[in-house]
Amino acid sequence: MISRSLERFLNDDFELPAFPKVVLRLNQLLASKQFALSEVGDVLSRDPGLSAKVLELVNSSVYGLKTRVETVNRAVVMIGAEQVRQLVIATSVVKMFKSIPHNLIQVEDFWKHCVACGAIAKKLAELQGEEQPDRFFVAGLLHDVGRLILYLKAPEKMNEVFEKVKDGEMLFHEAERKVFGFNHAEVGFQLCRIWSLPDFFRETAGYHHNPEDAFRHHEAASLIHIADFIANALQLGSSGQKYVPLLDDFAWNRSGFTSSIAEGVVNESMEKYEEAIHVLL
Amino acid sequence: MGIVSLDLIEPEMILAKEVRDSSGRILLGQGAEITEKHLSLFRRWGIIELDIEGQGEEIEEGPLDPEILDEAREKMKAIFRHNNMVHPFVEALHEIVSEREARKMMRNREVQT
Ligand SMILES: [Fe+2]
Ligand SMILES: [Fe+2]
Repeated sequence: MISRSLERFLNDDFELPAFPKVVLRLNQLLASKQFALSEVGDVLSRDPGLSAKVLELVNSSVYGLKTRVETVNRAVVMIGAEQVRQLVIATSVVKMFKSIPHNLIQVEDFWKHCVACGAIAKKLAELQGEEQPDRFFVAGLLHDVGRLILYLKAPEKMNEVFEKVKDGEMLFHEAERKVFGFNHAEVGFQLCRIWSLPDFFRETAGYHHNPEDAFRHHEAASLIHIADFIANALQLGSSGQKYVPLLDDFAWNRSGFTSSIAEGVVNESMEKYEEAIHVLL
Repeated sequence: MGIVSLDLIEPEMILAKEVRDSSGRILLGQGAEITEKHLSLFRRWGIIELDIEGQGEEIEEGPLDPEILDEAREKMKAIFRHNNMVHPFVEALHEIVSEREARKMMRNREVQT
């Protein structure tokens, strides 16, 4: 469901920055369902900058592969074509919105928060024995991307949001809803749709503040919720909110975690976080 | 890592954290080896201290000052104001971030003295 106010917001004259050509080609190629893995590598290698970042990330502790991957072709074989596409999209999104000056937030701090959420989410996913923990890194990277659009597209209104949360009475995403009629998670859901990301990412971005309301991916949204909670508590970067959002009971119970995981998760995600910000920012 | 005043930094030391100018632009990245040239540039740009690899490690591992830890716990309570502090996971994280904060406070105090 998309509210009238959100629809209007997205259709407004604001143009989303365009993805690099490589992303569009990858989308086409993978949508065709008939492609050789080497084609994915060939398309990607036409963008040396993106290729280099993908290789660096794949070789970092974030992916934790045992052998070094020297070429993008090899990366596609090792982590899979769809995983490479997702990583390329997330990396491009960070790059597209990296150097935008803003008087309400430091865009770099914003991305640090998202990278932290991704690194922690991946660790949590591993603990849960998830089959594809890598996609949780990407989901964390993108979880708050809707908020960045709010900052860029409506700075005056975001200033109002800041005013509302200043005394610490109201949660940030609730204040957004008061001011805009929708919040950053809903914007994120729509962006992931526009960017033709799988519903997994739409839902992790769209329901990370209310995992209970997800359509299918309650577990994943709960996991991103908890990762976001931890990232906020650690104050690694910031998406603009000073206070740690309320830990959601549904998410916590659904995850099946106990409080004993806290220390290990924090310690073990830190290296991933440091390496990933080094590559991405 | 540890914060070291620029006067005490020697070439070949390794940056533990990137150096930025006032607008947030990265001047030298994390992991870079510092050269004489960097040092004179930093002086010109008015940078007074750097985070250097392998410095202040005692504080990273040594025991926490209980008074500072209590101070940090009190301080970090504020960021959890929307949360139920007796939830075991909230409690565990509050303790973790308080310890991190306490180490930071100890490092800062060491630099000042
Ligand atoms: Fe959020
Ligand atoms: Fe967040």
